[in-house]
Amino acid sequence: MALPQKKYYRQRAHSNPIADHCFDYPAHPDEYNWSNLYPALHGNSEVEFLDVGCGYGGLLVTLSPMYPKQLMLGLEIRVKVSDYVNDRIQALRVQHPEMYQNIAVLRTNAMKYLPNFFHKGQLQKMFFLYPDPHFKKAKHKWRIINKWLLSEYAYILAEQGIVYTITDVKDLHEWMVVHFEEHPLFERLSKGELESDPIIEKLYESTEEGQKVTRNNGDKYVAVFRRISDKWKD
Amino acid sequence: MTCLSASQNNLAVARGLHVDYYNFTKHSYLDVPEKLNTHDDHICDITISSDSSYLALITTVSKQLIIYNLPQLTEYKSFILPRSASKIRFSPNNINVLVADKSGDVLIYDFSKENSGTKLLGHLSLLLDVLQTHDMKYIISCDRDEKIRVSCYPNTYNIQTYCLGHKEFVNHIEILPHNDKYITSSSGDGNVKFWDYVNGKLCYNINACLDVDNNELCELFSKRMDEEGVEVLNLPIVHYAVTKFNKDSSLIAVTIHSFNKILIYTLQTIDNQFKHQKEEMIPVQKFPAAIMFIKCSLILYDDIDCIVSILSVVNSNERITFQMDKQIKMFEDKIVNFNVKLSLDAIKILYKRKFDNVQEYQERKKQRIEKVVQ
Ligand SMILES: C[S@@+](CC[C@H](N)C(=O)[O-])C[C@H]1O[C@@H](n2cnc3c(N)ncnc32)[C@H](O)[C@@H]1O
Repeated sequence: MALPQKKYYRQRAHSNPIADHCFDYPAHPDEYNWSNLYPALHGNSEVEFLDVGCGYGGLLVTLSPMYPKQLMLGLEIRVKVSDYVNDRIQALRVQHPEMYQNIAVLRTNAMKYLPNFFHKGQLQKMFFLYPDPHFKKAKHKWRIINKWLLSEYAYILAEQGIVYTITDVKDLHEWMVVHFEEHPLFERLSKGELESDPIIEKLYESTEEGQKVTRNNGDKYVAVFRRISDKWKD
Repeated sequence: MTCLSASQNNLAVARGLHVDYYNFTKHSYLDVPEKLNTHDDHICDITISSDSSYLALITTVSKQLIIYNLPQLTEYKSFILPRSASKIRFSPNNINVLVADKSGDVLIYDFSKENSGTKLLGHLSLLLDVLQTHDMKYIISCDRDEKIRVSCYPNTYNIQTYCLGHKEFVNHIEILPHNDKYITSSSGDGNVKFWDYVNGKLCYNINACLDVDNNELCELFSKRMDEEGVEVLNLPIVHYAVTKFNKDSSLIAVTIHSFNKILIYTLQTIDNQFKHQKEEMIPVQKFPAAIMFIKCSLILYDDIDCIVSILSVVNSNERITFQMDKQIKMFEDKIVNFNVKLSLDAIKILYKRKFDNVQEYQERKKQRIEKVVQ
């Protein structure tokens, strides 16, 4: 089985994440049958790593052999792009029996349906790699990071869970940092803490978007955050 | 959209930009200032505080939130909302008003202050109801996307949980009157659900649309919605009201789309075990525009003839029934020109029109692959 060719899966860059689309989602996370996505591995384990807006899936493919025991899921809103990732994973599983069983992709709108798929505190890691910048002020509400969505991400993340972000757009980097730092359920990791994490170096070039930025000699800004417990006392 | 509110000894009905406030001896009228020259501006929600000291209302086009003193009916505070709202509710201590709006935001207004109005939380879906628990610790909101969200208060950035399981929009939520550990909800999926809201656990379900003793109604509605590209399997619940009956049970009133009977249930919880019983189906001439309970009296409002009916409970040994107690003509000595929109049609916009771009893509892909094989 050959790897899929990207030329058949190209699609317009942006789709409106706020409009209604045809998405299938379970009414409750318990109703979702994960064994379709992880036929070889699914048993008692749940998805722990989530790549939000995974694009062509490069991060999943890189992390899969590094964490063979963890289930990882990519979320992608575009029909063709998510189908490409799916075909890519199926082909990899055939070419490398026993491998790539822990990664899968799901087409959904991550801004709307996360609580339908994941329980409170289920995730250990979330990734936002090169998210769409939505430069215009009027489109800022489409940004995948904002004050209100961070509450949803905090809800599905375990305490001490980690959020990784990288972008080539300085303004978006600053926007993400401000929103995470202002949110009481997140704190930023220091430079020192990043050094010991083997995932950090993979953020730069695992994905197709990261490789494109390298080709164009673009800058890359990394920021990583930890989900902390609520300090609120009444 | 609710055009009726009542507490122990007063009731208020809204029509267009006008309110008839009745204290069971006399009617007083109130006219909301016309801010714009639009004819469709109207009051879309009205509510009386639990201590009967305030009346609050919101308008559709001019987006006003106005709080009046009761019983004088003098204006106390007014605000302009940032976005069109669907529902307002007083906080349990009656010092704030919670606003649920159509863009998915919940706002809080402290009406003792001038420039109040703070966003507490946001869904990415039209909100239909909001409430605060009696202990003030949680704000609960529900939306067009089948979701009920439980947020901590005042730290609303912390989502306690979601109550998930409805299959269509959730149009009403209430604290279970006889046991405030639970909330109850109604939905376009025709079901009433009961939840342990701190843990987001579904405790009990009443499939109310199964009690509609006329199958044609559902077929008719499905057909009409099908023409609009929406697949509907059950008749939606339109109105929902609950009240405490005794220490172990609550009385529930439900209206179902196009069904001219009011379904009455009792819901009992003994040692956290839920049980329900259908008590009565009250036939009505016209589908009511609003229903509610005051203690164990059921209030119905007919907005075509502007009649409020009060039915009181008759508790014979075995079954609970309702009996007409009195009828009150509203807006009798005031002419109000306003075309009431059928609440039965309003519900249609809450369904999501689904367009499927996946199937078409898969078809084309199949053709491409077949071509290569040939
Ligand atoms: C610029 S690309 C980056 C893709 C990938 N992370 C990479 O680094 O190559 C952003 C991706 O996020 C997807 N996306 C945008 N909004 C989304 C949403 N609400 N839910 C899921 N995916 C989304 C887009 O379709 C797009 O593929």
